[in-house]
Formats: sequence, structure tokens, C-alpha cells
Amino acid sequence: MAKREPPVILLVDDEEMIITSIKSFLAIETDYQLLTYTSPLKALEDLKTKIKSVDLVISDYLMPEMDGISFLAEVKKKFPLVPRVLLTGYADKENAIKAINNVGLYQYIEKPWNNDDLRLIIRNGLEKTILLKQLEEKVREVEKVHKELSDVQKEILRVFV
Amino acid sequence: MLENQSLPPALSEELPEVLPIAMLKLDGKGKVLFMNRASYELLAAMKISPENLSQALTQRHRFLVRQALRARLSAETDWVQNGRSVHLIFKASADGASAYLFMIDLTAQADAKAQLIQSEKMASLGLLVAGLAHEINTPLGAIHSNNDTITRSLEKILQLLEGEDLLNREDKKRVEQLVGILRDVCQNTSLATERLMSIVGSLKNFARIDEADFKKADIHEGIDSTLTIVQHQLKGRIQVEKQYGNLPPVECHPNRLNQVFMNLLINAAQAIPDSGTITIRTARKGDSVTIAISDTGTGIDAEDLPKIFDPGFTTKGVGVGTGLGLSICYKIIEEHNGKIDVESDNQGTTFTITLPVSHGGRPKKVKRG
Repeated sequence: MAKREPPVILLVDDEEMIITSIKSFLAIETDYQLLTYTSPLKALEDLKTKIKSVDLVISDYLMPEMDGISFLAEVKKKFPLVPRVLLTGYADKENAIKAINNVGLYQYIEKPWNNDDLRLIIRNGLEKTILLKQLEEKVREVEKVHKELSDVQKEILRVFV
Repeated sequence: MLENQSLPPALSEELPEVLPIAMLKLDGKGKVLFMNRASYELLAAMKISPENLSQALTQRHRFLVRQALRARLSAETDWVQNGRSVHLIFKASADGASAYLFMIDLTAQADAKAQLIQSEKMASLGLLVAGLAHEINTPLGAIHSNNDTITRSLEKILQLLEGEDLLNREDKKRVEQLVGILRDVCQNTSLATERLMSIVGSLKNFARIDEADFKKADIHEGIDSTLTIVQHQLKGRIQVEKQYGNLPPVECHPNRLNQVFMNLLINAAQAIPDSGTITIRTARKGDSVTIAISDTGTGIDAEDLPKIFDPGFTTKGVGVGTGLGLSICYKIIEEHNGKIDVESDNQGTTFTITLPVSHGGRPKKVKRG
């Protein structure tokens, strides 16, 4: 496999302390590039305008501007294949599980989380993204070869018939 | 229609006896001239002998009797005596020489109201606890994660020191020493946050506000989280021995059941004067499970035993017990189609709860309050 760009992870939590914790942990253990937001609205705005590509999105559930499930549903519209992870407290666990089914979340993490679990969930999510990207590429290749073949076939038919 | 039927000839004699309301005739001093059958029953429940009624009535009652007689009117008031809430109506007789006293027993209604208030209190306490636990989780999550990150960073620093000659030997030794201290401190913080996390987890598990319906739950998890909540009442003084059997998940209202466990555990702790043991045994018996909570306390007096599930009954001092704990336990277990039994002697008390494992998909309707 070719040398890859560091994966891009978008993290939204209205609590600066959570962002700092996760950012610091990922900084010492991974090469992931982190885009962090305390405002889900600002994150959505940037996703629609500035951000070209993102490999995984993590969002808090309870935020004053909008809840994490609505935010991740918006993200899905722009990047349907990107795994979406919800960070949640216990009190809204049932909501989170509902959302996993309704909005199609990849995973949810309960606060307070375990760093190893967090890393594993992110790694697996990213692998899924990579596999999907590879699959897309293969499909494109196959389509390309298919087109070439049908061009050759047309040529053959044109010459012999 | 009754209009054309003749009245029974002995109505004036029969009516007071069949009347389900206590009816008495008193003279101006409050002495009983006549009382019907319902009066005997109610006065017995209030532990008042008819001869002593006039003494038992308060000054205010006697004032109302005189007032009713003087004005030939009626007067009403409430009376709480020996756990009975009674509504009193004084009415002057036609000749104004004596007063009729009607006593309506409102104990059941008063108890229902008190239970409702207690349930509401528990419900709001549950909400408060769950909200607090949720709020604590954000900073706790940050601390827990940061501590892990610091520990990991320290290990990386140590690895760097191993590889390269970045420092002279003395400095290296000093740095290693400092890193060693930091590592110990981090380990300590990690233990502390883990303890906090388990307490918060128990609080959330205890409150379980997200679960409004009957659902399959682990009874042991409920008991364990309740034990964490009542821990401070036991600490150092009371040993808790768990003899857990193999229980299947039980279809129940987890936070309501936790209330029962809490009440029984607090009662058990209060029954033990100095130090002692609370033993919790669980077992499966066919389609039911049993949970037995025993204490090595002073026991319940034999004469009190039949009354302990009555609302308002308490042997604890004023301000210690509401007298509602066990009546609420009884009600909650009833909602679960289960039963709660008690055995007691001077060696201690055992409460045994029996619960059906499932309700065949049709749980008994839960009525609040």
C-alpha cells in the first residue's frame, strides 16, 4: 500500500477539557490529524465550505447548540461513508442506542471513557473508511477496464462484421 | 323507587348500628351517652376506651363541642391519634342539650397521600442523582484520560532516556527518580478516578431514570449499586456478607427494586446497635428468585411484627423514620407480583423477598403512589 496521508478526525464537544484530553492522548499515541470544534454549528459550516476530506467524526451528545445525533445526521448528508462516533453520558444511553439504529452511527463511547477503547474504536472506524475507499477505487478500476474491454469489443465488431 | 315503600319500623334503632361511620352522642362535658358499633371499632383502633374519650379529646375539641351546643350548629376538625387520621364533625342535637359526634376514618387517604409524597421525593432524588452523575462524568472523563496520557508520556520519556546519552549520569539518575515519583502519583490518581467512576456508575445504576418500564435486569447489580449508596451508614461498623446464588435476569422495575433494597439495608444497619453483620442471600427457586437480607440486630418485638408494613408505623424516634419505608417496600414488591416476608427474634431480623422471574410479558400495571 502506498504511503498514506495521516487520517483526519473531526471532534466536536462543547467542553474544551474533553477536547484537550482526547487531543493530547491521540497526539502521543497516533499521527492522526485532529480538527476540533466546541461549536457543532461552526463545525458544520466548515464541513460544508472548507473541509475537503475527513476520515472519522466524533461528537458529544449533549451540547447547547444542537445535540450530537442531529449533528452527526448532518455530517452524514455531506460525507455518507464516514464513520460517525457519539460520545455520551449514561443518562442518554437509550437515546444513543436508538440513534445508532436510526441515524446509522458507527459506535458510541460512554463518558468517562477508557483511552485504549477510544483508540480501538477510532482505529477500526478508520480501517473501515480505508477499506471503503479501496473498494471505491477497485470499483472505479473495474469500471475503467470494463469500458476498455467494451471499446475493444466494439472495435472488433467494427473490423470483423 | 323508595317513595311508596314503608320505612322499617326499627330504623331509628337500626340505622346507627349499620352506619359505617362512627357516631356518638356526648353530653356538654364530652361524656359519652351513646355510641354505635363503628365507634367501638374506630376507638379501639385509636387505642381509646369510651370512658376516656372526654379526656382524650383535646381542649380544642371540647371547645368545639361547647360551641356547637351554644350556637346549635356544627363544627368540624381533624384528629390524629395513634396513627389514625380522623375527621370529626360535632353537631348539636335538636334540643341543644347534647352533641352528636361523627368520626370519619381518613387514615387510608392520608397514608396514600404520604406515600405519594414519599414516592415523588424518591423520584426527584433519582433525577437529581442521575443529573449529578452525568455532570460529574465530563470532568471525571477528562481527568481519567489525562492521567492515562501522562502515564504514557512518562513511559516514552523513560524510553528516550534509555536510548540516548541526552544527559550526564547524575542528571539522568535524577530525572529517572522524578519520573518514578510521577509514575507512582499517576497510579494513585488512576486508583482514585477508578473509585470515583465506580461510585458514579453506582449512582447512575441506582437511579436508572432512563428505564420507565419493566425490563430484565441483574438483581445483583442492583444490590451492589445500592450497597455503594448506603456504604457510609455501614462503614467500619457493619460487615456485609454476600451469598449470591445463580440468578437469571429478572423482569422488574430496577430503580423501584433498588428503593426496596435501600430501605431494607438502612433498616438492617439501624437495627444493629454497635457492630454486626448484614447477610444478603439470593437464590433461584423454580420460576422465582428470593432475596434475603438478614441483620444481627436487636430484632423486632413480636407484638410489632404484624404492623411493620402498615403505613405510618415506626419504632424509630421522631425525625429518624418516616414510618413509610416498609409500607413502600411492600407496595413495590406487590407491584412486582412478589411477596415480602419477615422473621425476627432477639438474634436479628430477616426480610425475604420473593419475585417471579418473568410476568409472561404482562407486568402488573404500576401505579405510582
